[in-house]
Amino acid sequence: MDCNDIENLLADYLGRELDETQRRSFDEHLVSCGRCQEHVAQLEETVSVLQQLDTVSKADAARHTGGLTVVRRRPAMLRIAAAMMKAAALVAFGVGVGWQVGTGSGSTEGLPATGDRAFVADAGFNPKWIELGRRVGGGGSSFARNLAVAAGSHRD
Amino acid sequence: MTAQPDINQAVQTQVYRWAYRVLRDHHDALDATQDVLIKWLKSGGSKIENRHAWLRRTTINHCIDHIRRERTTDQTSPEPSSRSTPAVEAGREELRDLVVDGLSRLTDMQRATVAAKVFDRETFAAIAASMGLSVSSVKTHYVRGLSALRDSLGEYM
Repeated sequence: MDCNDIENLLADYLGRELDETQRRSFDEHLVSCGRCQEHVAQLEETVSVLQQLDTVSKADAARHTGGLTVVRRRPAMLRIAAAMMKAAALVAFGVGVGWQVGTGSGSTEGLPATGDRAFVADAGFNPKWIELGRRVGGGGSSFARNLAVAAGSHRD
Repeated sequence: MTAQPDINQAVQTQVYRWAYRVLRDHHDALDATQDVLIKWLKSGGSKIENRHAWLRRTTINHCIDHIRRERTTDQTSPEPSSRSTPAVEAGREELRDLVVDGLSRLTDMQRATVAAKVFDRETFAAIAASMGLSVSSVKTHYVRGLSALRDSLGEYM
């Protein structure tokens, strides 16, 4: 193996993707070539530095992101049918008409369109998600207003 | 209501881990996770090909932008972590700054391949498939990215 081979196999060496035979040949060349040895050592140290960046376990990350729920909006026909049934129920019980935003995971029926096929909903209406609603729906959108109304009533 | 299969808990967790690796702050990482998922939704969501690669690239870029913005508006020292001495913490902060500077100077492709290989330990073949590149291109981006980072980390190393 010569210096050109080292250059060609450098990515595989650094990425631990050389087979045993290639790796041994690679190492043998490094022992005999100071220039390649220094070059490879610097790049290996760079990888090592990058790997020192803190990370967080999957379990902790899952716990930290646990409150976020992203749901898919139902197909338009189903939404229209649900809205009609809801309107009929409201009329029947003499309840005022308005958007209905539920609480609890996945209870997003009745949320107005946001322009996206999917939108983010929260189980607890904390202030972050009100801001989220504003940003997804655009400033002053009905989505944001309804989230804010829901949050207000939730606090009361 | 059906759970969106494209952004499930595992995906959120992964985005958070990338963000935390760069930002080293729980709240900032959570904000970044939220921002990136919103970007994902606004960019077409499930229509985006190679979701994993897109999210990783967007998360790393977003976090680098965040740190640069933070530096220009807040020159105060970060609170030291309770698990290390101030000297060690200062060294870690300096290292992180150098790494972030180095990462920010890479091309998008170099940054994406370095993150995939070093942070996620993916194979070159898997990275190539997720990025729609040839394996040899990915290897080239990887080595050039590392070389550029080595230059950026010059003082530290």
